[in-house]
Amino acid sequence: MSTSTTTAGSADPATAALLDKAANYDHHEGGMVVPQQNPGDFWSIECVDLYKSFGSNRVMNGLNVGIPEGMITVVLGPSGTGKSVLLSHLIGLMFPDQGDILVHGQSVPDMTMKQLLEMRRKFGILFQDGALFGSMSVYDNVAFPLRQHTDFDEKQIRDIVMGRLNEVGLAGGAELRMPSELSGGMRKRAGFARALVLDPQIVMFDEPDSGLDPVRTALLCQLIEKVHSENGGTYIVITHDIASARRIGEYIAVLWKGRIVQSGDRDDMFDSPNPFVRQFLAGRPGGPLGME
Amino acid sequence: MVRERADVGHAAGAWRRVLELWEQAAADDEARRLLGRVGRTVRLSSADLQDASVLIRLHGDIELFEDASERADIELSMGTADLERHADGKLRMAMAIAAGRATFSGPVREFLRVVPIVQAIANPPVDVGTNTDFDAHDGEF
Repeated sequence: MSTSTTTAGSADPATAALLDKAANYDHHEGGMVVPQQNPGDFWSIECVDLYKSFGSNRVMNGLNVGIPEGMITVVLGPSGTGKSVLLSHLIGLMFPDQGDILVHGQSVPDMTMKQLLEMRRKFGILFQDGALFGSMSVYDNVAFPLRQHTDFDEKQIRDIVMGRLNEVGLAGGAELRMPSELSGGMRKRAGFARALVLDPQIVMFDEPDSGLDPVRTALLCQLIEKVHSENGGTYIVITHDIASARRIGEYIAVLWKGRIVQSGDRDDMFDSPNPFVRQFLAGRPGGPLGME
Repeated sequence: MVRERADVGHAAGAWRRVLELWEQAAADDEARRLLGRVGRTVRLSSADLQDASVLIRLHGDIELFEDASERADIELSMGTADLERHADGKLRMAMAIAAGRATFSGPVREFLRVVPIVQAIANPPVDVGTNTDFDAHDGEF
């Protein structure tokens, strides 16, 4: 999987020039190539040369990235750089104008609706605000996917729901509360429990730190690490919070202007000689990233 | 047979610790339940020691065979340094493969998916709410 080897294609001239400049700094010589006998032998998810525009606004500019299995991957990028659009493509809620997305080796754009629905069962998603149903208790929110997608009886559902709520520290009576009675951190944990009930192989977190103070963000990060080590699988955290990335990211991909500028092992990324990556990860105002 | 004689003790010690970790996993009910779902056989080998390999059968359970000639679905080989990290529960195995330090054949992804569960036996996650070395940096990275 090449990390940043494509040209800027038909992006507007200013963006194309900046992307090519960023790519030239890439210190991954030849990109990260893993020989697979079959698609999906190694990578959990592969994005190959993705382009996506909304009207005249090009959001993805030849995005290439491989998401490794069994690790916590953090997709980092400034606001408005295409992180949530990428997430929507991974689960087939949006489709690229050009390029391919492979989940466990299967092309998402080529899937029939039946295959797409089956593929989405592999995913658990924690949305920014938890996305809980306001009219249901925490318990019923977490039980909802099981009632929708399985034929488990209520005893089996109870065992799973309480197990997951216990895992996220919400089993001591909080299950009876309504979402409006929860703090922001508790809502996120309830959303996390709901994301886990169908035993997903891939769990995605869309800005898990949004709306949380630094302490609660750190606690949520520890919880994500703990649950990952207990369950395994591919975890993808989409954020612009460097501290969260540093805390839980094992593999980091830096997204900028619709392209992965660089991706790799956390330690390599925080030592990157790429000025774009260094500036972004250090949060410095001076450097190649400007106000544009 | 050892490829680099000077490292024989070191390599053998690392390999022994890897076997011990997997024996612990095979005795852990939760690990057996979760890894047993993989439905694959994996041969894990040392790249530095000949004849140091273990067949890990993940069909409804975890079963280990040191002298099995059975063909494995997934073959995985790595050097002593990475085996040590694995035994310590600190190996980012996919990165070892991506960096070319470990070699594989077959659908290794299905094995990588459950490796964190085994590594957590050696290196359990901190309890939520515990300060760690990371927090000792006091915000200075």
